[in-house]
Amino acid sequence: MSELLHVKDLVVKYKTDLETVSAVNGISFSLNKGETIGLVGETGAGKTTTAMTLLRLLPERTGKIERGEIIFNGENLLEADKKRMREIRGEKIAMIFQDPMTALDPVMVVGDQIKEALVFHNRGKLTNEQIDARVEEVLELVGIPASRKNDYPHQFSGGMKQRVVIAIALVCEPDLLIADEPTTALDVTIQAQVLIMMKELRDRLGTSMIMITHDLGIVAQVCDKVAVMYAGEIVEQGTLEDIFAGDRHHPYTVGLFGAIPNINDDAERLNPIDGLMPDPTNLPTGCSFSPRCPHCTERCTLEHPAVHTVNGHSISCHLFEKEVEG
Amino acid sequence: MIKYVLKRLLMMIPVLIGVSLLIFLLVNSVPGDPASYALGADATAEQIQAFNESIGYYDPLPVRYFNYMKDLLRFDFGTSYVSRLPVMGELSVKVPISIIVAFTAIAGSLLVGIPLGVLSAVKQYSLLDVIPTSMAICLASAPSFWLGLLLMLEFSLRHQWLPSFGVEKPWWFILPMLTLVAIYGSNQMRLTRSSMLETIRQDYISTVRAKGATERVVIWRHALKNALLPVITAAGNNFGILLGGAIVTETLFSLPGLGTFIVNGVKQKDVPVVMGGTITLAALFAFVMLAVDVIYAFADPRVKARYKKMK
Repeated sequence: MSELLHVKDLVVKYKTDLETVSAVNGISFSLNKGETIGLVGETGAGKTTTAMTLLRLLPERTGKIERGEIIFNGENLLEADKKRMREIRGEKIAMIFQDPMTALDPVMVVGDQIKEALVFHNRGKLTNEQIDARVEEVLELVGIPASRKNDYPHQFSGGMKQRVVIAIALVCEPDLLIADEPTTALDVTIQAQVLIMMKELRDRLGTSMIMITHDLGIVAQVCDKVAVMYAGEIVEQGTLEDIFAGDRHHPYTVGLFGAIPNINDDAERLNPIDGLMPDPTNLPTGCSFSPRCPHCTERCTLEHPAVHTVNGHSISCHLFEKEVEG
Repeated sequence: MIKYVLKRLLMMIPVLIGVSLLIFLLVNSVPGDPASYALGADATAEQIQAFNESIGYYDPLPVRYFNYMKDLLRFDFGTSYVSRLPVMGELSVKVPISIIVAFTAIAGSLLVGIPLGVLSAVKQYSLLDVIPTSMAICLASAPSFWLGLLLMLEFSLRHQWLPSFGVEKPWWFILPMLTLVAIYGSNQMRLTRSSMLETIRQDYISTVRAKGATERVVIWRHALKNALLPVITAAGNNFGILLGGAIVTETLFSLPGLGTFIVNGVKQKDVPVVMGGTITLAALFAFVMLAVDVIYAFADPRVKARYKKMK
């Protein structure tokens, strides 16, 4: 399998006059063609910033990419100019946004919103009739009758809107699809529908996918690889089996799984990870999880842990240092 | 949609009756009889008596209101106490001037305000934002009489390019227009700017960018269309206000518009003038508001859908 995307040591900061927010702190991951990677973590872990950085859509004035490389199809996106990025957006890398209620332009019919993506990347290849036919085709593909292409977003339900958003993302058949919590804003029943549909379409079109979510259930359903993010870092990364099975885990991952209530247990209360995510304007010197970690040692508070990898399963924690050496 | 417009037109009738009643009570509760104003201090008691009788001043208030409204139904606005001219004839001269003034001032302020507002929002915090925005704040807070006087000093007195008053030639309107456009254009610009700033942070703008749109498409096709909705509302409101409310500018440049007409009527207790002027103004205002709502429905499909449901 050939490598489609390789992110190396990416650092992104939001800088304002008042403060500097360290949103993404040196993350690295790679994705092969046809694979799906799940970016998991709680709110504020830097998942969406990572996605926006891949498309180079960070807020121009405040969002700064400090260092790193994003190699996509052999091309470093951080060196691409604006024109090249516009060609990539939508055609090569498409994105599904979190909230379908606000992701569509309220004053434009959905058909035109899908059509736009095609027109921007058309360069005279398709005739108008072909474009219209493609719009209808992709609407049917996501399960919306083509006759509804002249309806406005407010005439659709939440789940239908998310289907339209997915149609916009898929209409140019991108190589990489970034889905930023695509089902968070939907009802549980609709979530399942949308998820199954996305999975089917991904398999049919052979698209690679980055699935951003905080729902481990979704990860288990659709992902091949998982990267657990905490405070702008990937603390644990591996295949689906590495993360969901086995007993070598980053304490944060353990906490994440521990927070899921077990249906067979007779637990009175939920079991959250104590404490809060560190302030991204003022990260701890050592391991950023150390203030909440049950295994925290003095070293953890002073020294930033290195990444320890065994068979492609990497964990960024001092606890696993010996294992690698031995 | 048509049903909605008809309904709104019908609703204007009670509004106008309410306005007429209110104004009638107000002008008639001012102390003093109309004859003393109309005939001046030299008039004899008999002359005053005769004048007041001729206009039915000694009838009870409800009878006077009823008689006035009866004439109004035939579009007879009565005769001015002071000038002895039919109010209808006066209105047919003043109203077009006011409409021209209000319309060109609003059109001008939109032409200046929208592009500058978009520019300053897109280039937020750069010089292209700071300069227009600070100019707009200065102009919007400048009193219109002061601004008008400055323009007069420069263009009428120093260069003698344009006259300082009158409406005989179309270009004589330039100075009062400049005054109004400076003030209302600044308002429209600041409104467009804040509305644009809010719109370009919306998720759907990110969606458009993620499709690979050029900035031009993002701003002009998507953001502006959404940002214009509050701007349209404000433009309609300003238009209504300008119809009768550009009194300072009208007085300064001696434009014989509706505003000055009503104010003079009030000063002289000229009941038919005040009544006729105010009712016309109210009717115009109601029409403008209706027009704004119709434009709004065309700009925003969500509003249109609501009107459809209402019929």
